[in-house]
Amino acid sequence: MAKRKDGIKLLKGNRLWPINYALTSLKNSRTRNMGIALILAISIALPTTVFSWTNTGTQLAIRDYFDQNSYQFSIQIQSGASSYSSLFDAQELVLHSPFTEYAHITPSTIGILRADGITPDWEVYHTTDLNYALGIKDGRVIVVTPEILEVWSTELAWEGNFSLGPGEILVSQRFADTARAVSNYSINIEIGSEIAIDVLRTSYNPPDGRPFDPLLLNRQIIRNLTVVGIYDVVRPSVVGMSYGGVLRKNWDSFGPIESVMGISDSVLISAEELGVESVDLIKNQGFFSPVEFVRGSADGLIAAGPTQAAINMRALKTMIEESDDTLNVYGLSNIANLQTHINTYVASQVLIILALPVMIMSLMLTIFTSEASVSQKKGEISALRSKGASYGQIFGAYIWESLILALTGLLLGLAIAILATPLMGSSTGLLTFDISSYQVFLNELTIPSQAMILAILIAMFLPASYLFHVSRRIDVTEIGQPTTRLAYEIPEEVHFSYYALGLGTVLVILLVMPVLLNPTGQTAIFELLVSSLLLFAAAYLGSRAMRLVTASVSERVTSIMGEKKLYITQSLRRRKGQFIPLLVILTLTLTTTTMMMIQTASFEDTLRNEANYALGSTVRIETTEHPIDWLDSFLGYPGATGSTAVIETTSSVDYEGIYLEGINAAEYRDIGNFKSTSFVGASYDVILTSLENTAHGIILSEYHASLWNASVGDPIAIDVSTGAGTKAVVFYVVGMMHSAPGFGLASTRDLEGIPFGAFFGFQPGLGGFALVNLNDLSNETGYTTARTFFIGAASPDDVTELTEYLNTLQYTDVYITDAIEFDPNTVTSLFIAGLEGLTTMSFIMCAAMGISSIALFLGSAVIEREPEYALFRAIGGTKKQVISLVFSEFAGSVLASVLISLGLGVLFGYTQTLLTFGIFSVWPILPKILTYPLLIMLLTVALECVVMIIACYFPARRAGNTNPAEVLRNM
Amino acid sequence: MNTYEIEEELDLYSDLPDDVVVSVNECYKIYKAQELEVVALSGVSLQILEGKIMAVVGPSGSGKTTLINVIGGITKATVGKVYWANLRTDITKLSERVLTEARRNFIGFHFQLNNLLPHLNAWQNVELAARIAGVPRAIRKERVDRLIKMVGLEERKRNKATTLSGGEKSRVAIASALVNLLDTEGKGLVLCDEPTGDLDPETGERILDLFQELNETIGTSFFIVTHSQQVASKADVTVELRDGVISGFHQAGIDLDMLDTTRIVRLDDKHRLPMPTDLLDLAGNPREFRLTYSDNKFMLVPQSADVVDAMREKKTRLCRVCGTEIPGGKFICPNCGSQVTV
Repeated sequence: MAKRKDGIKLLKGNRLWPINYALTSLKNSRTRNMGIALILAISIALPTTVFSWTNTGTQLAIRDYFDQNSYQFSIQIQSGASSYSSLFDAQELVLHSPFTEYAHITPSTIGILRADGITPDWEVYHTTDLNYALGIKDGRVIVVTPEILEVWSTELAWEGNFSLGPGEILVSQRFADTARAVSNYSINIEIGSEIAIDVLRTSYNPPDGRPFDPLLLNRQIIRNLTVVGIYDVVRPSVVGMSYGGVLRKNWDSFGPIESVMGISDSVLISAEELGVESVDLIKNQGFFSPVEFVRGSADGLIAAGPTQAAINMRALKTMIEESDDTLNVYGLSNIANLQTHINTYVASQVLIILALPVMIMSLMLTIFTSEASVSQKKGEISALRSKGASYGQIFGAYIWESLILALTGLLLGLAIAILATPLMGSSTGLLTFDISSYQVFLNELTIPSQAMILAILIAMFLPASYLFHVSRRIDVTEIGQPTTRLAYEIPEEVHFSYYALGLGTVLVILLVMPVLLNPTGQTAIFELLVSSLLLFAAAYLGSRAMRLVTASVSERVTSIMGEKKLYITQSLRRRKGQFIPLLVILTLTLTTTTMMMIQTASFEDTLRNEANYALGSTVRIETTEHPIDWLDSFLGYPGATGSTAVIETTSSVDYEGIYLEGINAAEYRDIGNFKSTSFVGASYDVILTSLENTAHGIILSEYHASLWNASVGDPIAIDVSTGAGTKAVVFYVVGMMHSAPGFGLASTRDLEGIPFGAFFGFQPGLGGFALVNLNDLSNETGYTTARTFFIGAASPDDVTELTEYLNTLQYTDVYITDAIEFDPNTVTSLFIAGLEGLTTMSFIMCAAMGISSIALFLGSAVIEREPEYALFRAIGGTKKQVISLVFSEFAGSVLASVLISLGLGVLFGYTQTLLTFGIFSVWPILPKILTYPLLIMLLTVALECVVMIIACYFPARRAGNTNPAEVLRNM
Repeated sequence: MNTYEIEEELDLYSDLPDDVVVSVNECYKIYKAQELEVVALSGVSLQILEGKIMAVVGPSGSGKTTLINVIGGITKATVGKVYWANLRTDITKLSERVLTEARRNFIGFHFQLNNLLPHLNAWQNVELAARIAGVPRAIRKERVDRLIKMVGLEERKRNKATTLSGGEKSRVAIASALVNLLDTEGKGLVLCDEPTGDLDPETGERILDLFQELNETIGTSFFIVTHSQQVASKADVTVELRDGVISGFHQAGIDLDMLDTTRIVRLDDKHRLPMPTDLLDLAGNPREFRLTYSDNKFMLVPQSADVVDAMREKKTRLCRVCGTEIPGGKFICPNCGSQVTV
């Protein structure tokens, strides 16, 4: 310690004191601080969860795609090229790309099966000869390595082993089958058989007129090869389609042309078996171009931005294609599905807007609590100032406190997000989820950096709020202030009708807004924001009104409340500062829960309705061309009540093009999922019966009827596309429609968004469609086959047997009512899953927030009112009486919130549902269904209510434990 | 513990005696509240002497708390100077930071409300000020133990502040105020605002005895704002404050009911004399006085008649030069033209 001779010395202060004091202070108000951290955590967790969900979902989609596709594409030299060298140049390019994990090169050439004494000793070989008739069984020899075999083991179906040791070979099923046929059933290749192969290492075909020199084929005879496995190609994959076959006639010059020497007519020999020299020879001079398989790197693509994965992969393919004209690149045809999946996740981020009220609410609560926390510190600040603490030290102590709280909130928020993100990804319904998907999501969970930055920014909100409150408080605090606050608030004497009037106005605005402004796209987002604001206003006004109503009611019910009335009535009219924020928060949390439940249930029902309408009937079949009477052959299956084929052709009147949909009117009438809004002017029943009975009848959209100035009974000449060209056909209008089940909106000009059916290709394009009789259309166009069929049944369960059979057919998609939207890859299911997950999360978080705010507000209310309770005890009140008094007041307030929030929830649920459709990718063509899941609503709200009321007991018990002697002495 | 030096300004206070701890010179404090200016202190001057107890009495709103805040450097005087012996400079010119640091081992505060932190125990409450100041742990511990012993709270030192009695709280507050002043060789000052305000007379008496005891053992000065005669009677000097003006000084052992018998009034720097209001009340609140001086005494006689009219009385005078009569209301001799001098 330096000291000047004149004795001036200053105590500069302890730099570490602020952080020490912050820690002590945090420890001393554990409950309050935990509440603040939890509330902050909720506001952090919500956006983090939504962003992590979309990010993780995207990554999972990418990984899933890579798991299902061992290679993304293959590269080879076009047939007829003189050299394969450009392939090796391309390999350099591939291996240098960050999006490549690895690349496998497989040289291949022709091999001829040799069986001494059975197969002929050939001297001449041409790939296009009738080799099978000559007894020559040729096939492709593909040179593989153990690594390649390991990858292929998932691409090909096989039996036996799928690995090669010395003296071993793998053969394809077709190779084995044709070998048997070629050898006249003398050679039977099975697992364990020994075969020999003449490997033709050099491609050779003498010019015309020159004798064939078999030596130039560079034949390598490999004997004693044991067949260890037989494989087959069963699913389309890059491996399956990369070995193009040779088209030739095998047995007879007049026989059919067949493709041979593709992968399904091949043998796999290890590079080691052939030797380095042979492999090199085959690679450069073999009959076929080596095929290079490229495996994309999921990690590389994710690192470059998951949303760009498919685009980056395509860019790599294009780069290779453009590097050399002789290169052929196969594959990536199904990456479009991956991009759609990714885009859907990205689009679902808009759901964040639905969580906005909960986020704002928690941030608001953070301000309230930090303000309350700081204002209680007035005396403390004064005491610290009197003990020599500088502004900087006090400021530092509180900022440290807030920073520690913010860090705790951030960590807690991230922990909640980590647990809640898989909940969104694995939602199967309202408050239900799938545990195995939960685990998958949990294992793959990543929090994107943008979400992390947002989380940190939200976390900094608390120190910012403290900064504001503390700096204001220190400025106005003088020394010598009491460390405990004693203030009496004058009871409020405002009539509740002012608040009721305000609330009424807010609700009218809420209900009128979506009617006046059609909620689509940006307008919907704007209206959602406005509705969030209105929610806050309504919660505030409703809380004020309800509190006064409760006070007034308690004044009147003396018989029930007894002597408590004296206290509660007055108490309810004051303490606005503590109770109104609490009531607002409780009302907001309960309203949000109710609102989101209505929203989700309405969404599910509307979409199910849309899905069923888009399907058309109980079962819809999309298949390859089948005769229009194809379904008649299934009449033996029980349960089907009717069926119709659908013939579709394009047509036009003047320059307006529409589709004509030919249906069996009577069957369609009986099995179609019609709605009252489908047809116009008369019921669907009447109009379709009329169509059935009218030769060349047509049902037009209202738009087209008016465009072509046609009314019921009028003839209309339409140019119809037929197999042979265009033909003018006169139809007679039998009715008009707005939409039709199975087809969608009749005039595409009425579309304001993408209808559900469009995602499956069910919604006809052009200007729309018209319905005509199936037979008329068939006769006029000459089409006798259809790709779309409708089957009717009383319930999907009645036709299970039939649908199971249909599902086994190739290139056939069977859509069944009530099951369509649960396909996990569809756009709608992701949105719905997100919505359900968000609702579940909001429910849990709202409940947590409600309970925390009860703990925070009522806890501090009890501390503040300790002198009153002490007085009660001092004048003879028992502990039980105090508990009952306080509990009645608190629980009454909670009940008031529940009542008002049920009402508000129903109204906000209505508007919010309409607005959410505006940001949803599906545009409903039927009227939206508003569903009020009363039972589940009541159950969840009741559950929340019970938990909150139980939470009220603890502060009440604390009030009961007031020690009058101690409190009154410290007053 | 860090110390640093202050550039010494021109020492305006070198004339002050060495035993002055704090000197307040012609201090004015004006608060602005809703565009109205309220004068809380109006030209207050006083000196607090080393090792003495000074009490301030006065009705509510007389500016006592403002004075204590101005002395403690919590509030800055609008006009005027406040001298602290440890800095040997006028503190009104210093920055908040330097002031806070200088205050730590020079001024201690003790309030009626005690200002104890409820979540800390007695020992920790005493220690807090030393912790804030950055006193090393060993010194801190030794000082706190010593003070706790001095104020007689050894048995209760682990008790939370809320569980202490009023007297005990007051003792903790005193110990806390002194924790950084122990090493200041008697130059420290404890500012007390109603220290016994909510204590019963007996406990209050014990606290005052403790003040005196500490004053004698440590040599710390006390400046006490009070309404209590009990407190005022223990002070070495008592100052009366009224409407922001010092209306009187008293020597030790005053009786609040008989202030007029012990009061000493002091001229301020502008030779003005504040009139004690209790005496004015007794005299029927006269606004004007006749002041005479004879036999070593000043006489103030309330002027009940119309002074102005008397002065304006048109008196006939005789010219001092020629003896001619000058008519009333005229000041020039009609005969010789001489001017009448008053």
